[in-house]
Amino acid sequence: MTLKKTALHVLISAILAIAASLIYNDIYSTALDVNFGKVVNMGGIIGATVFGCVLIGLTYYFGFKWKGEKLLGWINIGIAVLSFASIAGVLGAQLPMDLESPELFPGLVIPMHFFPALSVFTIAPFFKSKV
Amino acid sequence: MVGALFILIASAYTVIQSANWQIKEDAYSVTFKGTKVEGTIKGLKAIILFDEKRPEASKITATLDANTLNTGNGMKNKHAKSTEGLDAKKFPEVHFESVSVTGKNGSYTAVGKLTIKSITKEVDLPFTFENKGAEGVFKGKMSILSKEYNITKNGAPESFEIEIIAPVTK
Repeated sequence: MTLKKTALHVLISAILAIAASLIYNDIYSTALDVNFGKVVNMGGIIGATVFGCVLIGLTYYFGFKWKGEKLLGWINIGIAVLSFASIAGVLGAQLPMDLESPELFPGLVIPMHFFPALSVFTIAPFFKSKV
Repeated sequence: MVGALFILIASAYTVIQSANWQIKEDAYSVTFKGTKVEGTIKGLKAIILFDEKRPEASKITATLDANTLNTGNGMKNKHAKSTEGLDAKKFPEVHFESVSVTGKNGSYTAVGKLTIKSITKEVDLPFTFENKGAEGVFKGKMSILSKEYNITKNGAPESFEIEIIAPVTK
């Protein structure tokens, strides 16, 4: 696993995860007639998704360098657990008072917390075969 | 008998003489604040008969929609509207009715009856009134104790401070 391949993996994963988040945001907001644009906007989605994908990519890269391929399974478990744990932050989030229906906010944001990991995991076999 | 009739007519006359102020929709705010929780309540409907020169002739009646309570967090909203909170499903209205209004020079106190969850307690509502001719702004703040209104939900603050800012027009 080279740094170049890891970077490409991260880049494609981030693009897929951003696309998934933006599409989901649009569908959810339209279907449930809610607008959380004040706290969930395109810039925030892109920034958070890129951050998540880069973090996962770096963990993959250094994990592989340190212990080889056998560690990747444990890294995947760690990433899944951290993605799940991040739900707590969403449930406890304090939104601005002028935003209506805050009870619908977790339904929008929680799936997005899994998109970076889902995206990285989904295309990982393509990069693994080239190692 | 004649005297009583005179007092009745006179008191009715003074109420009629008080200006009838209408609250500006979408411009008012009713906020509450307690330990670790704050939020807003909407749906304010009020009848405000108020004359700065004759505050004793004033009458203020207001209701709020408990179902519009918003803390900015879905879970907190659910807890606050639950049976151990405001029980908004069963008691959708928070109601205030003044008994007397006193004060002068822009600062007043309305003593009235506040009803939450069908429990009525007497409260003092100190407020200011800024007169801008045909318009004005009422600003008031009061504290209530949760237990007095049977708000017993775990984590609910012991007391809440309620602030009302109501721009009005004649």
